[in-house]
Amino acid sequence: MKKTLLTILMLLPLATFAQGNDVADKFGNFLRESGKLYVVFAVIITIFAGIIAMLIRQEMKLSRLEKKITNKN
Amino acid sequence: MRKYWWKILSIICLGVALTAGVLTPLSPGISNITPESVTSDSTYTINFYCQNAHLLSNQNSLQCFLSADSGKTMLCGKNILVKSDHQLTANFYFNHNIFSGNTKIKYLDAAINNDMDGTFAEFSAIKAVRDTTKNDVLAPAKCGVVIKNTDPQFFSFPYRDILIESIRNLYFHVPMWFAMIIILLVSAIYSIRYLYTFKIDNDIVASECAKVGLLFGLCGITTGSMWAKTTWGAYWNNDPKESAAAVGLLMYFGYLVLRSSIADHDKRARVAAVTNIFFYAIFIPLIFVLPRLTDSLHPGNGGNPGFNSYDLDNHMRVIFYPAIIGWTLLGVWLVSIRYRIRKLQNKIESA
Repeated sequence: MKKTLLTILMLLPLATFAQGNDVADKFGNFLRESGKLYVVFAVIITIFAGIIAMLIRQEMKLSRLEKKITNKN
Repeated sequence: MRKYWWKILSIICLGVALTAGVLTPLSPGISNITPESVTSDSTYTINFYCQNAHLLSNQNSLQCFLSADSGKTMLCGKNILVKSDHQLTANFYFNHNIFSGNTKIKYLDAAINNDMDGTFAEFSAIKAVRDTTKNDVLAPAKCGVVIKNTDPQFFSFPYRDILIESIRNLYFHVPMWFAMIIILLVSAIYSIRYLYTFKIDNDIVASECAKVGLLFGLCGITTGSMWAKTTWGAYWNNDPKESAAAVGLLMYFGYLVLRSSIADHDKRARVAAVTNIFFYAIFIPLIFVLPRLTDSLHPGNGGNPGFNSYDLDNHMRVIFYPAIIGWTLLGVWLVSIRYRIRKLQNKIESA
């Protein structure tokens, strides 16, 4: 299961290239020509990184509590 | 199901903000014009480079013109040649009539109009210099331009010179601060409630709200500095708004340090509640009032118009309000998870 997923993920960029220059051009233009779009992506990634970092810390706290309960029983 | 409605609402709102905020096209705009400078009494071929325009498919209704003195002077492009959706060339004859009186230099606005894209322009795009050696050529400086649509005929965000695509950050950077202020307000309210009731639950809510609010503030300040890099030129500009926000966040860091430095539960809760209320009362004037009293790069401060006056048009609002609701509810969600874990922790430790 993991292997197939990995293969698909690795093949994904190939699939986009296989569709010819047209798509690649369009995507390239989408990012380049229309100026400063990369900031928007950087901003979205930062915000999600922050929220996910908080979720991970909460998860660790929760695991510690779970361990405590199982040790008590 | 009924219990989860606000979580579902939060997901829907964030989905709307993310998809529409990223995928909605910008309005058409002129990004570059060459040549930038012309001499009068001669014909030039002017190149227009546009963004997000649909020039090829709307050639029938295409008009291209230069204007000055708010439309009193107008030059129409002849032999308009559309090279692609984003590029066209047109010939302009610059006569002496565009200069009023003895002016030697005149700046002309360039504009393109078609049925689908409406009218889009670059102001002061071309500098016309008067050729003083030839003086008496009199040709009409007025041409007939019939404009049917001034607005684009598709759902789009406004095209602004320096912002360009980064205008979409309105759905990610700005709601961070809205959510932070709302969550910190909840925190302050629970601190007041604690001082009335002395129930430890209120103190837990207040402290967890402060932590989530601080997370949003940190996200807001980092994304703000990224946005500042592309629009203001540097990551940190010592702008009053930036500095005030940094001071405010440090205050809340101080609040958390204060909490962890007092071991006794009741004493900690009482001291923290009082500080929290005071910090919120300082925080609001610090980031909303003080930066407005001086010049600032940030929209909505100093002599600088806010987003709502011209950048936040109705198309942007449609997605802006759901974005605020979505991010705020996500914050409330985080608070509720943190609160439940803290309650569990207290129960286990006291047992």
